[in-house]
Amino acid sequence: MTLLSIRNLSVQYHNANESIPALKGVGFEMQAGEKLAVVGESGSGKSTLALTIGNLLPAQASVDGSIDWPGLDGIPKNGRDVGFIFQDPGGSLDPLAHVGTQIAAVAQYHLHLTRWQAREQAQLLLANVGLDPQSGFFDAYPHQLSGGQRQRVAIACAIAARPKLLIADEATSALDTLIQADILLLIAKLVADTDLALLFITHDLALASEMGDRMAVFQSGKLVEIGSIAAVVGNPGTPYVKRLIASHIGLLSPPLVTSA
Amino acid sequence: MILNLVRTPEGFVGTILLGLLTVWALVAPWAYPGDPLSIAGPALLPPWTDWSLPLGTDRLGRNIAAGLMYGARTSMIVGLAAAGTAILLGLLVGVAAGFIGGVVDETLMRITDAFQTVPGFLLALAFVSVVGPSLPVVVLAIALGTWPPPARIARAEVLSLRERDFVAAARSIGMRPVEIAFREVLPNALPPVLALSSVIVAAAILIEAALSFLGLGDPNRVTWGGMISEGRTVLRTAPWLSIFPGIALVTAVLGVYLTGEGVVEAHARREMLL
Amino acid sequence: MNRTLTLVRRRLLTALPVLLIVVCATFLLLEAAPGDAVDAYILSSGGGDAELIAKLRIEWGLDQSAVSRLGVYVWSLLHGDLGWSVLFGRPISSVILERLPTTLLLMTGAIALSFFLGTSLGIVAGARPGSIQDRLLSIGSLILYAIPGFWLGLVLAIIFAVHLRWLPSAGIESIASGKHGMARVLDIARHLVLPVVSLGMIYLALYIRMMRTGMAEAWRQDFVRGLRARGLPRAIIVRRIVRNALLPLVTMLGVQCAAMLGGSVVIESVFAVPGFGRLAHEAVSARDTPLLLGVILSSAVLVILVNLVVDAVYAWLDPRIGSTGASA
Repeated sequence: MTLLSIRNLSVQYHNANESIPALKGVGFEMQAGEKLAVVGESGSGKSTLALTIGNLLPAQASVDGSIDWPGLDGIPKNGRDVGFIFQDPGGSLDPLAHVGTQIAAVAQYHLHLTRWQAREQAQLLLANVGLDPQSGFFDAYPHQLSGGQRQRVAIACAIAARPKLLIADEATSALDTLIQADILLLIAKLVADTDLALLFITHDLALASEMGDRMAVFQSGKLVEIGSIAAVVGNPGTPYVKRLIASHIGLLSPPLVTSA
Repeated sequence: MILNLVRTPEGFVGTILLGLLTVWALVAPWAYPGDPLSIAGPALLPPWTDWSLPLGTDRLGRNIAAGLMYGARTSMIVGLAAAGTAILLGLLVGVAAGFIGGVVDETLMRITDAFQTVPGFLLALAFVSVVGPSLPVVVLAIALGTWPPPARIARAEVLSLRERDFVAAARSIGMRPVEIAFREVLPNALPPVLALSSVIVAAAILIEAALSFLGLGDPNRVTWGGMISEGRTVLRTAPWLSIFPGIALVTAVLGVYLTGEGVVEAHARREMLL
Repeated sequence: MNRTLTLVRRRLLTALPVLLIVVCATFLLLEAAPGDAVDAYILSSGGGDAELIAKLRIEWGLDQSAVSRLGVYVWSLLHGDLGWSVLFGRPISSVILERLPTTLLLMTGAIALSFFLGTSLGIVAGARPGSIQDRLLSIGSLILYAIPGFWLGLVLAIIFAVHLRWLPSAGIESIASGKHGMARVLDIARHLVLPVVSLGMIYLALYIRMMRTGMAEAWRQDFVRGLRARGLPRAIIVRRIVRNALLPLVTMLGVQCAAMLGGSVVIESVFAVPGFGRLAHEAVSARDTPLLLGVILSSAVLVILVNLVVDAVYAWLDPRIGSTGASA
């Protein structure tokens, strides 16, 4: 069943002197429970895509085209239907409120729970994301947690209202390598357990291959190629994607700089 | 730069008000030559009755319009001089504290704290009453109460600039610390302090008015505060004596403040376009 | 709680040297002024012969060196003895204690008015930046900020006391009215309305502007996007923004206290309120330097105390202050 259908989406940012296009005529579909990895370099528009889907663009942006949700009835609501994780782990958390309270607030509002029920939900979610409630994480403040812990809280907030789609925008780019792996495992587990659809946005080709069933490659605001991982990585259709894959530096790549 | 300033709404209104005020102050000796404290007509003449005395006269028959113009001179001189002194003093203390650090920094900061703990107006009051009211004393008294904020800002700037690469570079080519402090660090610490300057000028004008109101201004000069105080005794019958100088004060402070905000806005806009 | 207490202790440690500096400065100024405490006492108690003067000097330790005189001064300060007022013919401390409560009442009223009304209006303006209410409040607060408090007092007195006769124009209560209990409280309250409004106006304007700017900036903060990404309603988002924007304003309360003390001098003069501020003016007029310096010293102590309380409250409100940081 098609969950999300994007057609001819164009986004422009306007300032006093000019209009800068961020997305140009982007179109693709996502099925329920599918994992789509969006890959692109800086300025390719991939973050704009996430913000546009969530109606989180600043006031100076204009949107053309359509975003339809055939899989949902009614207008999609952030939190209830779509969950977001952003790059800056602490950035989406209110510095003055307990971490547990922030998770509970999402559950309480969208699931129409009482405060007590929401608290219980929040404890469960904390456990789900690997933060043991017995260790007092519920009453912790964001600044008392490490980056990885804060990102776990952000994930808990994102899935608290049981959305159908989880959008992770460079969710692990600001974390250390080992922590990165933990968070990715967590996301993969949560997606598998609850049949969530995942839109995984990253600049890292290797991560994209790990996390997605399909891959979409963006360049300068345009969607240049989309297909299964095997198809895109193994047999890239466009010259840009060919170059992208060729220049990927992994542990097994030959050294760039050789001694004379 | 001036053009950019005038393009902002705040700067536009501010410069008009300030411009009016400056003209007002400068024109005084030509519009009303002679001593503004001398008697010009019958006492308590209401405004708009005699065109040579457009705003009426006070209890002694002195020309109120002349008083307003000469008072503008006092307010502007005191405002600018006091703010200048406060900023200079603040810069010296702030740069020294931030640059030298250690015990010097601690001592200077405690002294700054001490000056901020005593209410600025009380300090000014005490200073003027001990030394005697005259224009330079009033300027110094106001500066004594308003120099701590520029000092703190200057120090904060210096602390963050000290670690920057260009200071290390200067040190590595052998510049002496004093040279570095004044040629490299000070000019960069200046902008945030200057951003505060319009607030200080406005505050200085208001403090001077309050001091004059209490009878502690320079007795040989016309001051708006003094005029308001004079008008108190006839508040019921001739309220315009106190009202006009007050309006002048509001206009002056608004002008200064708006111009300051306009400069900040114009600067911000310029940064955005770059 | 621990966090707040350690912070208060640290603040106290830095406050003590500051107080010492103020005490030393007052001492130096006292020394610079002509005459000493004995002269002041003799002057106001109707004179005395040289023998009595010499005896008092020895008794009060004023014949010793400057350093030991400083010691005597500090010692007497610790005992609450601020010296003798020529103007009143009484110990300075008793004069101050008599006048202080009135001014404290005035200041509390002004601070409360400006803070609560100012932040409320600032929230109204900042909830929708760029709206009509935002623009109106912005312009209004700017004009208010430029109005001198004493002139505003006079204008308000003309309108409300002279023309409308709704409120009294001077004093702290109706003289010899013999009112007690609630009636007296109301009488004092009526007399306080105009002075409190005049004193608090400038900070009212400041709080409106600060709150408005704080909220406009808070809207741009990252966590707001996080809240919107979670689909939380506008009401909840505004509430969280207000809490974040309110914090810097709390720190202003300490600064405002010092400013209100200074402002009370003029306002109490305008409205003939027998308070601490007017005491300073009277001391200046009568050239009673010890009294003036006693006023300054007590002001400094008051400001330090208020700042301590404000710092403690701020630390309690903001969990980031004094915290040890990220746990394992």
